[in-house]
Amino acid sequence: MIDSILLGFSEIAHWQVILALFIGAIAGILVGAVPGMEPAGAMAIALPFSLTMDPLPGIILLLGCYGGAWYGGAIPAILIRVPGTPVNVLTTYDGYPLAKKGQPMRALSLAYSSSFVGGIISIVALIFLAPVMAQVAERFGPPEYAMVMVLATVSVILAHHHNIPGAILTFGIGAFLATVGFESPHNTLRYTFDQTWLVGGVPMVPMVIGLFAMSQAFVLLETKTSPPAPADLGATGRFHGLLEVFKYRATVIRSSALGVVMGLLPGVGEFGAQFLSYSLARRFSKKPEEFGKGSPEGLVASEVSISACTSTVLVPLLALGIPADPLMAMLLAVFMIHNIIPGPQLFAEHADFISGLYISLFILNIFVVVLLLAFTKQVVRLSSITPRAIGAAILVLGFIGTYTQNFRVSDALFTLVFAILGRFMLKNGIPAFPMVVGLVLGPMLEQRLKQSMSISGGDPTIFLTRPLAATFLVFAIVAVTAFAWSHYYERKNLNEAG
Amino acid sequence: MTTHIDHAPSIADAENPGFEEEIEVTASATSGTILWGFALVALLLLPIATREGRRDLGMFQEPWFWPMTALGFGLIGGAMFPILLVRLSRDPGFGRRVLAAFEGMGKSLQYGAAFLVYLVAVNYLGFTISSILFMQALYLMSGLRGGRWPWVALAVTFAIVLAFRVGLDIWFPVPVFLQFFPASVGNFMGGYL
Repeated sequence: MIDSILLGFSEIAHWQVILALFIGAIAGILVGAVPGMEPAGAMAIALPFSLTMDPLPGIILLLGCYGGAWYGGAIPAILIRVPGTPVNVLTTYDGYPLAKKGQPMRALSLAYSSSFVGGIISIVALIFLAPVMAQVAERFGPPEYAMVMVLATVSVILAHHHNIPGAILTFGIGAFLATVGFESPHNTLRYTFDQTWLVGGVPMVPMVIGLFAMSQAFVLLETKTSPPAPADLGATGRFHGLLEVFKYRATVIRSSALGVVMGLLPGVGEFGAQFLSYSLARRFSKKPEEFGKGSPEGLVASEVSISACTSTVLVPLLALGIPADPLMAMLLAVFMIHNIIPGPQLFAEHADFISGLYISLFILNIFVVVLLLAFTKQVVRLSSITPRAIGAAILVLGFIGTYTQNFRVSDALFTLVFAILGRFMLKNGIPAFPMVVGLVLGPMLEQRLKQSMSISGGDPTIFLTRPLAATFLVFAIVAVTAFAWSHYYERKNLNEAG
Repeated sequence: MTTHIDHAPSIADAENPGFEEEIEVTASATSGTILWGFALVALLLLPIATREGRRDLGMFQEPWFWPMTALGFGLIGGAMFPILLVRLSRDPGFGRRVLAAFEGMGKSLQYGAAFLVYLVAVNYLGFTISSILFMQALYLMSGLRGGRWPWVALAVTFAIVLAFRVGLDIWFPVPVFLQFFPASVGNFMGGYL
């Protein structure tokens, strides 16, 4: 353990890593603090930087943008009631009323400290869970991997419970798009129509930048209104708010546990965690009537659960190579570019990288909190930047992010197509995330299915006769059945009531 | 609580206590049907877009198997969209609501077209000049005109160029117009454009 910690510190003791931590933290905070800009946009901006760096600083830069955004997102949520990132929706419920009562600094400090506690718990969970999952994964053969991916697919689709048909359709299209290009074992081309630029397939990074960053830029460019300027913060309540989180120990434990578990489930993540955490906190609170009216406990429940997901989403990515959200899908691409292949071997072959990653995540959280405490007043001013100006900058940065990866015009064209598609889907409530998951999991699932069938000589019962594979399959079936059952009763109750 | 989590938060959200974003059912069904149609066309193209493999490896190894599975999964799961759209087509004002799915897309397409021009311009004018022009165009198109805005656009572009082109030394193709200048000028300017 001590060796790992020392190894981690030696890995990060380079100017590049420290600089990446610092820039990543600042970029993340700014992205969170500016309403409408999402971590995916920040990662698109940081991508060209990360590709010119060594693997650890490159990935830390992106994780900085990712982690810092959840902290920064609380600022506009609390001060102007506009969530900085979509996951900060519940932060507005109690953060904004608390600020309206004349305690904006207390609310902000409480949000920072809650995020910090959740973030640290999440890193500890990552440190313990990732190797355990990797050890289990060592016993996996192709059938087990295939069934884990089926389970992940089910989890992603069910997470979009408001639009299951949309999730299935976009997942299917994503998995189909992954089949474009060269195929093995027959070494044929699929859906290329003699176009050489399609032989390499549909690239993931341009797709993610298009769907999540540039489509967002289109929205911002069309936003005519600007956020209101936040009121004066005052100076009181900063340290009171920081320590206040420890008054709600039960809420912290419950919310972090939920965040940790939800982070492990692909597609569920911060959204599922915060809504469940908030409703449970209200149910168990001594003052449930204060929720939604400026309850510090509600703010703690929301912020802790969001941050408690931020590192555990790395568990399936590091141990199995399965991205739990779109940002992790983007990170997976960066891992691949740096020739770091996630999976059980990662922990043995790149122990130095893993240790460095863990220590960096700790330091990143400390960096972010210190920066926010020192510069909150300056960061707050960014909340009222004109969205159209941000949108224009994202378009240029998105171009750099896609074009400079391979210097192919086709990549930029893919980005544009997915940006327009993403805008269309966003506008009409069709989820885009399953499409990315389909693109990532599709080829893996195809490969593992083919391998499984080769092992069994074409007998599909191999998925039932291998205990672990059968267990994952049963989990997937139980999840679908339970969902269908609860949905049926929900509908029935609604019909009876109205 | 929100019923639609995939939307970007906007100022409108702040005015709405529940952060509900109403998605018009017909518009949603229309967009779903378009995607469904894309999947259907892709499935119909399967025989000409893939080749048959060696039969001895079994059906699961065939090149067409996985595209067919993925598309079939999407088509069956998303079949609700065309069915719903057909059912909604009997409602009055159906055409207007279908068109609502495309509301605002014209502006996005305009920005997309500008992006295409930018993409071409980078080869001819270089990254720096193209970015300056593109940023100015975006500001104009989005309504940020006059006063300080052209200067803001210029400052943002210079910051981006400084960070990526000069700071990180990210390579871009040498602009075509530099061919008309002496090699020494081209070599010097190429690093900044």
